[in-house]
Amino acid sequence: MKDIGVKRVFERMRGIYTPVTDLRRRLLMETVRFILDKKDPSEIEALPYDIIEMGKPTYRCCSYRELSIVKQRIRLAFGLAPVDEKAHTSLFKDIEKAFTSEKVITTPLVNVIKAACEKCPEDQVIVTDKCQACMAHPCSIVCPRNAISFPDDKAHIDQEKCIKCMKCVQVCPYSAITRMVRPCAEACGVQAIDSDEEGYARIHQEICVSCGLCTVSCPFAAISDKSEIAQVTHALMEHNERSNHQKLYAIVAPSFTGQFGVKVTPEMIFEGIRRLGFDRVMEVAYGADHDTVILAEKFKEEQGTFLGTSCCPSWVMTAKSAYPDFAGNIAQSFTPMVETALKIKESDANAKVIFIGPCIAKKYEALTEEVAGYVDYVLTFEELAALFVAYDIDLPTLEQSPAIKDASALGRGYANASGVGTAIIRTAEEEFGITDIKFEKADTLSACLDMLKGIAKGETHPDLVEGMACPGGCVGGPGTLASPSTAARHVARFAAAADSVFPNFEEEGTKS
Amino acid sequence: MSDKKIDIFVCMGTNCTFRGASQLIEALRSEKKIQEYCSIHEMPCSDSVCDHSRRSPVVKIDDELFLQAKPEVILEEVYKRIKNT
Repeated sequence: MKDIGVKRVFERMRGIYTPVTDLRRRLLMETVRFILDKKDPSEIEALPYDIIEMGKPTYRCCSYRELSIVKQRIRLAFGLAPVDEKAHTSLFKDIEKAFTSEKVITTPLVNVIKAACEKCPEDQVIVTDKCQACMAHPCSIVCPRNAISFPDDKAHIDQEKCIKCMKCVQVCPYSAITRMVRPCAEACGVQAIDSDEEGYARIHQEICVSCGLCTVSCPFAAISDKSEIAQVTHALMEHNERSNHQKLYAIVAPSFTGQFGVKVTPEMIFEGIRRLGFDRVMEVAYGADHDTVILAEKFKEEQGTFLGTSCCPSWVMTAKSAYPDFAGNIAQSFTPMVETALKIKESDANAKVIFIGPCIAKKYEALTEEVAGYVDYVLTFEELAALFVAYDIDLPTLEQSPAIKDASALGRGYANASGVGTAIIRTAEEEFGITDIKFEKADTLSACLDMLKGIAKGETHPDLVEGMACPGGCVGGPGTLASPSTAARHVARFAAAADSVFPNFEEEGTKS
Repeated sequence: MSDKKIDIFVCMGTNCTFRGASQLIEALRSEKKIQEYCSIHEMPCSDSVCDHSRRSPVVKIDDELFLQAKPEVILEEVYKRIKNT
C-alpha cells in the first residue's frame, strides 16, 4: 500500500486553504476597509454582516453563533481582549478605544474564543466503528490495565483505567483503535492548554510563550491572537494625510519571500509596502547578520558550555523557564528584529518601526520593556496581505526595482531551520578559522525541550544550540500565507541572490 | 492555445492569492489526469471581476467564469469536463 505519510496533528492543516483561513482573512480585510472608509466606531455593529451572510451559516450550526464568534474575532482584530460572554455586556464594548494609531494590545496575546470552542475531548484512546469484536481481540489481551471490555458488539475502553500506552492501537488487526487528541493542545509544545470546568480549552497564560501554533491548529477557529492591523491602518492614514509627519519604517522578516504568490518577487513585495505609505522598507536579515557576527565572535574564546541562539523569543522563553540553569547559555544579544529596529532608531529617533513577519511571539516581544522602545507595531504576513488587498495593491503588476541589498546570504537563511546555526558556524570558520563547533538544533518547542533534556542529562555536548518554535523554522510560522515547503524554497533562492555570502564583518563587527 | 482540450485559468493577482488561489493552482497541478487533459494558466487580476477580493478566487474554465472558487468545486467541474471530452 502506498505510504501517504502521516504528519503531526498540528501540521496537517498547514498549507491548506480551509474555511478557517478564509474567515480569518475576510475578517482582516473587511476590518481594514471599515477603517479606510472612515466609518464611525458606532457603525461597528454592521461590520460582521460584511463577513458572514445571515441565514446562510457556513461555519456553524446557525448564523447567530457565527455572529458571536465573528464579533469576538473583530475585537481581537482591533487588538482588544475578547469579552466574557457571562459579563452580559455588548461584544463591542470599548471598541472605539481601538480606533487610534496608539498601541492598544496587551498580554495575553493568544486567546480562546469560547463561543467557537467545541470542547473536543482532551486526549483519548477510542474504539472506532471499524471494530469487528473479533474472536482474537488482541486489544484486551495486551492491555496492561484491563481497560477494554466488550459490552455490546464492539470493544469499549474504560477511560478511567486507560493509561494511553497505545498497545491496543498497535495490535488491532482492523486498525480500529485510534488516539484522538485535541489539536490545540497537541500543537502546544509547552503544554499550556487544558480544559476549564466547563470543558472549554483554556490557555495557562503563565506558561504560554505566544508561539501561536494553536491559532492555526484549531479546526474550529476558536483560538486567535490579537492584531495591530487597525492601529497600523490608522498610522498609515495619518501619515498619508500629513506629509511632514514622523517617518514610518517597515522591517520585514527573512521568511517574506514567496509568501504572496510564486510570481511575486521580493522587490515587488517591498514596492507594495512602500505603496501602503511606508517611507522605507528594510530586511530584518540585516539584523540577523549583526547577530551572526556577535555569536560567531563568542567562539573565539573557550566556551566550556553551549551557546544557545536568541532569535526565536518563544524558544528563549521556553528554554529559560524549563531549564533556569541554562538561562546564561542563551545569547544575550537582541533578536534580528530589534537589531534592525535599533539601527533605524539610531539615525531617526522619531521614526515608527513596524515589524512584519510570520511570528506571533514577536508581538509579545514588542510588548516587553526592553524592546517596546524600538519596535512600535508587529504585523504578520497575513495581516500585511490584508492591507494590500484593502489598499487595492496588486503585487504582480508592480515594479521590480530597486534591488534589495540589506543582507548577506547567511542572514537571509535565518528563516529556515538550521539557518541560524549554519550562519554562525560558517562565519566563525571564515573569520576565525574555528572548525570544530558541534551543532545541535530542534524545531517545535517539544523537540526543543527534548534537546535540552539530552544536554542536561549529559547525553549530548553541543557547542552551539539552535531552537525554533515553529516546524521548519520561521517559514512554518502561524502568520504565513505560503505552505512552509514553498516558503523554504523561496528563502533559499533569495539567499542565493545576495551580493555576499557572509555578513559584512568590518562594518558590523566589534572590531577585534 | 495548445492541443490539450480544456483551458483552465486561475487568477494569481494579490486579491485571489490572499483568498487561496495558490493552493487551488497547486491542487490542480498535482492531479496527473488534469495535467494530461488541461492547460493550466495563470491570469492577471481584474479587480472588477472579484469585487476587490470579496468574490475571490476567480477561475475560468474554457469560457465559463467561477467566483469564490473552492478547490473541491473546481476539481469536480474539471473532471466532469474531462469525462465529456
